[in-house]
Order: sequence, then structure tokens, then C-alpha cells
Amino acid sequence: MLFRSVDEFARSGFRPRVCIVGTGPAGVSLALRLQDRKVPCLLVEAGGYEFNSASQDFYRGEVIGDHYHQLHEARLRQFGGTSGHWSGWVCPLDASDFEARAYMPNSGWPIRVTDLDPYSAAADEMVEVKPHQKDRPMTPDIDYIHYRFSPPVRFGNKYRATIERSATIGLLLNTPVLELVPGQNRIESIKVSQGPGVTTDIRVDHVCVCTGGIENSRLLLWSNARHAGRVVPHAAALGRYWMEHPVAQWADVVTHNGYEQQFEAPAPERWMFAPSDRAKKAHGIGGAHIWMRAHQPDLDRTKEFLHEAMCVAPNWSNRLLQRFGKEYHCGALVQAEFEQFPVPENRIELGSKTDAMGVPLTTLYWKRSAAERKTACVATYLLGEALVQKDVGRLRMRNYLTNGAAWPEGDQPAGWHHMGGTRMSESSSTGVVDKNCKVFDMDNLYVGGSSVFATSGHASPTYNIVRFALRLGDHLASKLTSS
Amino acid sequence: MIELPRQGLMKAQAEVNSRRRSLVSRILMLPLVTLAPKVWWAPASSTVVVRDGWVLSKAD
Repeated sequence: MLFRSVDEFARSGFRPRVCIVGTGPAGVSLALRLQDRKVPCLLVEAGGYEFNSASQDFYRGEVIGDHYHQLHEARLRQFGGTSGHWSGWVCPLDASDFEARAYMPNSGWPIRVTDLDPYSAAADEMVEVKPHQKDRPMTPDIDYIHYRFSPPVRFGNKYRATIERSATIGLLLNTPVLELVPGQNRIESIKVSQGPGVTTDIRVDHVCVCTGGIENSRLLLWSNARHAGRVVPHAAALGRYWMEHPVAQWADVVTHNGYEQQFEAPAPERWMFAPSDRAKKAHGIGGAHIWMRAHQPDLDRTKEFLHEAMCVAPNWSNRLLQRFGKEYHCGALVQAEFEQFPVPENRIELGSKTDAMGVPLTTLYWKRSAAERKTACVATYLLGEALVQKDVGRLRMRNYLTNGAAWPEGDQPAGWHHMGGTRMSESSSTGVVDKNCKVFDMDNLYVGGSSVFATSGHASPTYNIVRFALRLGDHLASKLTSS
Repeated sequence: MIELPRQGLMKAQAEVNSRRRSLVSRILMLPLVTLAPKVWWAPASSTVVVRDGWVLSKAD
């Protein structure tokens, strides 16, 4: 049900029980779940069906710390949100990701992986992937893990007609939410823009902020600043414990014995490498998924690599040379996307510059720590050890991992994954939302999306965002139908 | 000297404090790895050796 203006919505007589701010994978999945449970809801989207440069300007911001993407390029302000440029990688969080890990300060969730498992089948269907297969051990320290690839689903394209035709989902486009307006331990209304200098309030029953892994913090920080801390009463963790998945080339390898078939399998699914739970615990490292990409057509790299091998590993090189022409050899890059430890110093703050509507732009403080370097070093080493133990190849670590040099500033320093800022926790002193994604001590304010992640694991977040949103939909439906 | 109204002074002081906090935050966020000692976390292993970054078997 598309409303062309706030006035049209107000005149319609449609009375949503839940107002969802944002139409990315979290907002759309939540709305569809509420539709299934016959709970009327309203989706409020700042952008239109397509993004444009003027709208993206609202996402500009400053990054202080390590080299990172431009913030206005890292997400999309449009119906369907950032799924509009999602690459489609799908993997569930591991069971161990939810546990408190002694070597990782601030780790541990108030829920377990079994709380999300019931939503996997529905999430598989939404992002159009086959069921996940369990990890398989390569060695005690390295697992093969199953990654699936969505086509990728663009939530805006896939669900536009369903939402426009729905009798229980209302949709307002081009309606930026400027702030949440609190009452006594609840949100009374949202203040929205209807054009330059024109604002109006929409009263809400329940509200769920699903504006993305940066914007959720920004909207709540600004609303708190405007209303003397009455939107997020316990704000110690608000904006903090922000995380990314750093991305880096860790090594080069030459594989043999036809082993390249193990990692060159085409989409829609692929087996990758990951440090096992045992290895993570024994060495105190985070999670990672590691994949190999053939040097071709850059075969000079393979030649350099083999030339060097003759000096440091003459026996293995001779063995390899004797096999030339008899079997296929493959030179490859070893790349990884890996877990960042949650630390309060990585955070979102309101900057000194404002957007066209007077709301402060984001300042993101972000850098990798020694813990991520340790993950990279140890996981690369363990993969190299596994290749030796299985005698399927040899690995050479990149110099920066062994000599302590700075991280290389590549085109992609991280996975475009914005997590944390409104983290889930047992306590309001260490988190913003409880196990049901409800803001502590607020009766009707919820948060959806990867900003609730307490730790990031290595898994790409979109699929898990969908599972969390479906779970939140069930929670809200149960709460509203029982009240 | 022009005497600023009290509110203006407080605002100016707040801006100075904010800039100071911001400067401290920025310094704390500077990449420190290049100043850190060289680190190498290779676990002890009886099956492989690391030579010039290569992870090799002892027989290689």
C-alpha cells in the first residue's frame, strides 16, 4: 500500500501497530513477517525507488583512523537499502560466535545460535539459496566451510510489488525521519521531513529503527541529543563497539594434485577455509573465511613465486618441476575476510557538519587492532600447515604479516559490513538493546539490522540480518497479539 | 576589548573543549602499527617450519 504523502497516509485511516524506519533487508524482512502474522505496519523510507547523488549526500561522513571506504558509497539510501549493491555472500553466524570468549573482551551474546536457527529456512527462501551445509574438517585447525551466493536478491526489486499490493504494509517513500520524539519510557512519534523546512510528526505505537549499521546509531544519537537522553536512556554503548570485516590478501600459494578444483568451484556455492573452533580457542584468534583466487592471467606472479621457492624449498621445487606437464598446477592469491574484535574506541559520533536537513553527519572512528593482525598471522600459518599436512601445496605469507609493517591500503580495506553501535547485551551498561532487540528501558523502541551484533564473526551480515528481522517480527507479533 | 555575552563565552569554550577532545581522539586513532615492535605469532609446530614467510615441511 503506497502512500504518496504523509497527508495521504493520515487521511487513509490505516493504523499500523509497528512503524519501521528504513526499507533495507532488515526493514523489508520485518514487514513481511508482520504481514504473515497479520500485524499492520508502516515502512518509512528516506529515499525513493532509486538512489540519486543528492540523496546519497545525506550519508556523507568523515572517517578517522585506518583507510576506509567513502561512507556515502558504502550504503544506498533507497527502497531496498544497501541490498541494491549487495554482492550476495551468504553464511550463518557460527555457534561459537555467540559465546563469551575469554580471549576476546566484550564478547558474548544474550542469545544462542539456536535462537536464530528456526528462521534459516525462511531466510534461505528470501535470499534464494539452498540450505547450508555443515563445516567439514580439513585438519583439526582448518575447516572447509560452506558459502552460498544469492543471485543476489535486490530487496527493493523483489518485494516492491508485494508491498505495494499489501493490505497490511503501508509504504512512505522520500520521507526522511529526522528524530524520534520520546514520552515516558516510550517513543510517542517520529518527526519526518516533507520537504525543505517542512516537518510533521507521525504518532507511533511501536517503532523499529532499521536504517543500517551506521544510520541506526546516528539517528539514535541525534534523537538522544535533541531530547536530553530520553530516547536511549542508557547510552554508554550507543555508537560504540562498531565493527567491520577487514579484507586482505594474506598469502600466495601453489597447489598441486588437482587441488585447485577444491576452491575454483563456481557459484552459487563454494567451499572456503576457516580456522576451526579449536584453533580459535587455542590461539585466541577471531574467525575468518579464506578463499583462493587463481593468479591467471597474472602468471608472472606464479613464476616469481616458483623462482623464490627454488631457493627456500629446493626439494619441494624439484618435486614440483618433475611433475610439470603431468598434472595441473595452480598459483593463487589467498584472500580473507575476518572478524574484528569489538572495542568501544571504534565508534560512530555525530560530526560538526550537518546534512541539508540540519542533522549532524557521521564521524566514524575505525581502525584495526593487534588482535586482527594476530588472527591474520595465525590463520594464514595454520592454512599453510594444513596444505603441507595434506601435501596439496605450499603457501608464502605476505611480508606485512611477518615483519609488522602497516596493513596494505588496497581498494577494499573491508567488506562494506557495518556492525555494532547498538549492540545486544545482557546489560544496559554494555549494550543498547536486549535479547529481543528492544532498547533497554524503552517500552516500544526496537532496533533491526547488524547494528545489534555484539560480535561480528566472519559471516557476511545480510543473511543474518534477515534472520534477526524475522525473529523480531515473531517477537513483536506475539507481544502485540497478547496485549 | 569587547565583552562577549555569557552564553557566547560558554559556547566558545564548549567549542574549544570539543576541538581538544576531537584532537585527542584523532591522535588516539592514528595507525600505531608502524611504531610497534615486529610481531610474529606463529604457533609452535612439529610438522612445519617458516622460512622467509614460506610455510614448509622440514623435508622441503
